Amino acid sequence: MFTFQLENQTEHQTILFCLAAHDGHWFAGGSDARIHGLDSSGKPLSSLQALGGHQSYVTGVASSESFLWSVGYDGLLNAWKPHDNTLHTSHQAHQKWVRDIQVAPHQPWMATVGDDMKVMIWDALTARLIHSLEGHAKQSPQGFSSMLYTCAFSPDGTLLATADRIGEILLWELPSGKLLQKMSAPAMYTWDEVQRLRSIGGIRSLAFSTDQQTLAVGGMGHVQNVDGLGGKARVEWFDLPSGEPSGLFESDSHKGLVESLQYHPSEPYLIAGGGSGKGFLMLLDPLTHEAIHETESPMYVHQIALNQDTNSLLAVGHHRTAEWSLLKNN
Amino acid sequence: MNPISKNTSHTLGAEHGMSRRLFMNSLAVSLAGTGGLVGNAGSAHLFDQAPLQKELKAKGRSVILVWLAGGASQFETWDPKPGRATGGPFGTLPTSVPGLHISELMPKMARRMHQTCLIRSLNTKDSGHDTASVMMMRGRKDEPAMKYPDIGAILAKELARADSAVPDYVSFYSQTEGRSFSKLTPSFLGARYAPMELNVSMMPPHLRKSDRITDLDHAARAELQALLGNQFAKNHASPWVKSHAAAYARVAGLMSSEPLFDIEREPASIRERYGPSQFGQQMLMARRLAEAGVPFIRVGRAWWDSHGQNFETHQEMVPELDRVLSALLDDLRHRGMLDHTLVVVMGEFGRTPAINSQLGRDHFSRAWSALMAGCGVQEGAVFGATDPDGKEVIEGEVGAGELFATMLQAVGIPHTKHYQFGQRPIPLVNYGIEPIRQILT
Repeated sequence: MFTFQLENQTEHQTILFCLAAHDGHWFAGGSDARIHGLDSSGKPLSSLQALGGHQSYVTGVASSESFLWSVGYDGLLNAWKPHDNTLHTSHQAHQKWVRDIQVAPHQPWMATVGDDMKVMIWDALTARLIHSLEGHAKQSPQGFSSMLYTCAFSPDGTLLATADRIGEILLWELPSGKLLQKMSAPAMYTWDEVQRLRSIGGIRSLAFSTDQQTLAVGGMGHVQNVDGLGGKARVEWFDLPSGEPSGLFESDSHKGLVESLQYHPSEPYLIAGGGSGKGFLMLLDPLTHEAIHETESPMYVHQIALNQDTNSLLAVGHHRTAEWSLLKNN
Repeated sequence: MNPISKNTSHTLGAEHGMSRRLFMNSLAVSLAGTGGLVGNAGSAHLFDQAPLQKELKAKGRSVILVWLAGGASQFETWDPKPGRATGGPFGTLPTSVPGLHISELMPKMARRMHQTCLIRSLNTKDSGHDTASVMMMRGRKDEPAMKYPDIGAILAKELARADSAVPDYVSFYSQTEGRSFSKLTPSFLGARYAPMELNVSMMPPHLRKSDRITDLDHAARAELQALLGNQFAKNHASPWVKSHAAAYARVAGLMSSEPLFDIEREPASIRERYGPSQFGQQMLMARRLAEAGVPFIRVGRAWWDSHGQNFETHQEMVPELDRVLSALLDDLRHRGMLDHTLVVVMGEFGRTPAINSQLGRDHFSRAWSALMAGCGVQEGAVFGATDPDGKEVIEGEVGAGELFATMLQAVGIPHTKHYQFGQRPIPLVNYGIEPIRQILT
């Protein structure tokens, strides 16, 4: 039996959207257009200055051997040496908001996705553009601009999954940039034709299983009232490389978007975080597709990350961070 | 830029220069002058100092109200606060008015702001959808014993031609959420000025002549009705008989206006400018109606209520507003209609500076914006201001009443005008309320 235990929580002035470990510290990007150094419990690191360099919300941070990378709604891709507060390079990576950045494990590339609906593959050392991949629809079926929210690399770094607002998931092979598979989770997107004439939802999180045979996809189920995040928190699984749906979980306890997913590297569960008015954390069984444990978070969770020892979880979110222990009870 | 604070004196005597004695004298004179037509709604105009010719001049004018139902965010449209904690993630664009920036989501309108008049200082003090919708449409709160007519009904009464073959007041509102909140009503003005509500189709129901009746039969029936009606009226002179005859004439006129509601008659190039969306097509229809002489058209775009995912909602909806509104202004200008058509863009309120945990913004009436363009208002004007975080109005605070009075005045209707309901004079706006004179031409 696995559970969470809340160990620490810290209030922050800014909304924290993203989180990455780099050179022994946590870094979180925020709504104040800055990147904040955090200690293991999520408290601000007084020894590090907050990093500027963005003009809007910082929505993705990722670490490579050389740099801490950041992206934001200003379209920029920035490379940092955070311990001496140096902005090494800054690129206009996308023409619209950049939603996510991931550095490939064991490979010399990284990926960014943005609302220009492009998937950009970059050299993780130099930020040289390797591929600009297109395949996601620029518009929703109703003619409104779509959004490309999230991306994830497989554990060996040779597969990249990307997912958008209308529930489409594309699987890319690297370094070729070849499109391998299209998958669809349409229930993650709610279009209200009758009452409000607008949409809500989208796929907000992706995670490959450790054996690369399964892709988990996070979002929210059908929403009755698109004024808010009233759909059930939802995770779907797809077999790879066939792309066939293989499982579904919808929470009866928690509503809202599953913003972040991470497979535990050695234990048999998937961790999910997100929220609506309230935040949540969930441990899901990838075989039975059932919840092992669900709990409220003290804040809406935008991203979760396991520490290096994989026994603790740091979550960042709405004006707050929280540190959780992962417990195994016999 | 013209951000000028309003006069905050709301004393009846000071504002209208009228004592209680003069009030009673005016009442007596007015009632005598109208032959004591107490109870005939709209027949007596107490205190109305405006010359008749000004009212006549108002004829032929139209108002198109773009109703952003549910409450659009002023931060993501007309009053952005980039770089502030309250400002959200969007950037701004410089506009064709020097020094004025609006949301980056509105590039087309940014190039047309020199044609508009922006009001950034609304404090309407009501953050409930239904109560605020009613107040914004009526310019004030109802009283227990008085339901006030809405702006559409008043303008229908004031601007419609007596012999008009087109409807006087048309409202489009296709979505179900919030449709009933505004409670559109002519109240004591009577059903003649009630809105034709087109919620399901852009074509009024039952407008088309039944296929089972030939044109010849249709004309013959109308002639027979007119013959019998006129004979009856000769021997039964009464307001009710006149009303009956007028209703028949109205129906005949509306049936003849069927082609007006056929949007397929517009060139493809014009339809393309407005876009394929329902909102775009309804706005194009509004232009057609205004061109044909309909005095008041409301186009409701629901539903902006963004308690969750405010930024995604505005990413979706504001570009559509940008396209449709800019197309409307261009179209009106190219047709020479902008000098006699007033465009007003507003909802029931704006949205909170605070960003909630769902990345949403909640209801906020304390500091929000509306846009006007065209007939009677200055071009390139910006009235009022909010503080750097958009939490309070710091200059030129105005409410629902002032906005209502400004709309009336802009199309040539004196805001001081009164109707008569029973023995009670009913002002078009509450005593002490003044239009925003700084933005009127």
